Amino acid sequence: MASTTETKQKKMLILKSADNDEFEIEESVGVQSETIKNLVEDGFTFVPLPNVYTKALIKIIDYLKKHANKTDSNDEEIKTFDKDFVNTTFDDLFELVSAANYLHISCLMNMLCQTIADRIKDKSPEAVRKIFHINCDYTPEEEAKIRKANAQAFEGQFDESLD
Amino acid sequence: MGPGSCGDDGNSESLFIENSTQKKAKIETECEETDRIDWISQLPDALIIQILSLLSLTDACRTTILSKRWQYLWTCIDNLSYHNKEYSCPDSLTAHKFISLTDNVLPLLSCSSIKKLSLGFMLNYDDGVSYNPKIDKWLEFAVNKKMEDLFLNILYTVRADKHDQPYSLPQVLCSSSSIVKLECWNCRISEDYVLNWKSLKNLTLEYLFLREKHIEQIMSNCPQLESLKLCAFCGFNRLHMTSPKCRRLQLTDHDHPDGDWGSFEGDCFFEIVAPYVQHLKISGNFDHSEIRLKGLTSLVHAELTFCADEYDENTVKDLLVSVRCANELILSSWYIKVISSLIFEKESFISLPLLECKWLAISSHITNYSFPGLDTLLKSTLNLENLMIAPDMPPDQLFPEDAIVLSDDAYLSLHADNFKYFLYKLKNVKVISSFCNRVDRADGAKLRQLLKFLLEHAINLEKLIIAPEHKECNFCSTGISELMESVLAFPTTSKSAVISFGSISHNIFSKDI
Repeated sequence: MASTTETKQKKMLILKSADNDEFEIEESVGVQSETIKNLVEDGFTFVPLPNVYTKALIKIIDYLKKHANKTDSNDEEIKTFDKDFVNTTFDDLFELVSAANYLHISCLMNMLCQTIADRIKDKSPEAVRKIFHINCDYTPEEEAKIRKANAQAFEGQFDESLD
Repeated sequence: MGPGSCGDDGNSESLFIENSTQKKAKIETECEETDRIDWISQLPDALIIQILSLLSLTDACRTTILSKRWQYLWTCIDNLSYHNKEYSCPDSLTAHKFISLTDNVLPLLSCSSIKKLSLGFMLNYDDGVSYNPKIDKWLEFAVNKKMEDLFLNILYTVRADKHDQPYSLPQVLCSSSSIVKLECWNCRISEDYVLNWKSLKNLTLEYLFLREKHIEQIMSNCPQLESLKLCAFCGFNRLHMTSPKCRRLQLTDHDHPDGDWGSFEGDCFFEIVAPYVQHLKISGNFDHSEIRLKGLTSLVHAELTFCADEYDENTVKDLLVSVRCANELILSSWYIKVISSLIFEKESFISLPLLECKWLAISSHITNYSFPGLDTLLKSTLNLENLMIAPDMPPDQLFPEDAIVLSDDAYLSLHADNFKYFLYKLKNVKVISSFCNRVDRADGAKLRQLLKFLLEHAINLEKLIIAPEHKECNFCSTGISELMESVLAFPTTSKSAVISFGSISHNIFSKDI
């Protein structure tokens, strides 16, 4: 809805990914990241991000754009967007977590961590190991000892499914 | 090479298939390889701890067994959530086991400070076993670790043959200087303890017997308090909101607990004096009690959506007078019902104080019975710019058919004088209506009449939005279309008025009303 003069006045930033791709975004979109905000406050308009790869950066810019235009009426739309956003492979998810952590985008961090936590919630340790491909390096004796020490946490029925 | 290039040539087709299977096989192995990487264990400790902090304490504790990498990570979490499942009441053995986790876990937790502690137990108070010392231990531990946020719901089941023995907050919690947000259910505050929460910003108390002196202590000893929420409360008559930073007050349901909670005899009244409060919400059931609001001089947003069984013309007027300076006002159908009933009883109009609100939301069906109430209310809101009307409870529940007996003449004369004034400032109107049950459908005529009035008398109207209450309901969409057809045929005084279909937005004060 902005008029042309307003569009011209909009401050732009250039983000450079770890694999040297450059992206131009509006400053108002970028400053949702604390890391970028601090650089912008110090007068930078060119922001190199040596810890964020292009693949993750494209997704994160998408996210920031969507959330920068939050209003009361597009609440549902953003919810759907978020749901699709986290519905991805572990490969992507963990790369996004690291990137979001580096960029200090707290709402994205919370959402990504919650997505991962939900895969652990109510699950048996065996299921968690399978889901995340965690290799158990305890000896059976060590494992039995730890289970005994924390017996209350291992009592009851757990979710054995891998979804 | 794409599938389109294979054509009829047998050789090239087989070549293509062969290639693509090989390629596919290669991709699959790559995928499997990346899929088998243990990404989560490679994250830095701080990130894993952040993830574990989103789990319940028992879920987090179980990760100790995953691998050596995970053995002690869970002990660093700063968000502790410990609930017995779904608040089902366990037998004493299960309860005992559950609560004894405390002994094993507390000494292990190594975080330097606790962000949030959430404890929710439902316990049987029997066999002379008290779990209170264990709960005390949790809270003492957390207060010593400078806990900022506490949710506490300790529910002892009430047995008919025994007195209810609610959990009493330990003294150390009553004077925690680090706590910022506190939500407490079903507990008790000992008469001897002084409440002193110097960092507290957000306080919610539910199912609590509160003594007047505790209310006073909250007001005088919590200088940072910004928001106070009381639900199902009881025990005091005066709520003097003297804390200047406290801008939000929410009251829901007045309760009458008895037994060990202390009896509260006779009809209750509350005097609420709140010169600093900007957002006020009173909802739920306030039967057998009278609310007196005073000195609401900073009020911006008022939501009065409670219902009460005792009212008269003065009660209603007094309540409206006290919220008259609010810019945004939300009223429940109870008001419309009370005002309409008073009019029907007296068989003449009553006049209400002039309200200053620019935004008004009324939860009411539009029926014969609600018409006089709506009319009276709109007459007293001449500064109104934005109006929203949405139904809350079914009209037959609100106005039982035999509740109002009125002669035809009186009825007609009351209705003849309805809606004769102009609303000069009204710009936006949103009406949500349902069309999918018998009673609602009968309302169509009244709704049309109201809309006709608005189009004729709101001479600066910019927008009229009509929305169905139920999305994707055939009756509603047919009803709305029919309504729209007749509304578009009404004469419109304002030259710039746009009439359109809309959708329901939950924030009724959003700019796209």
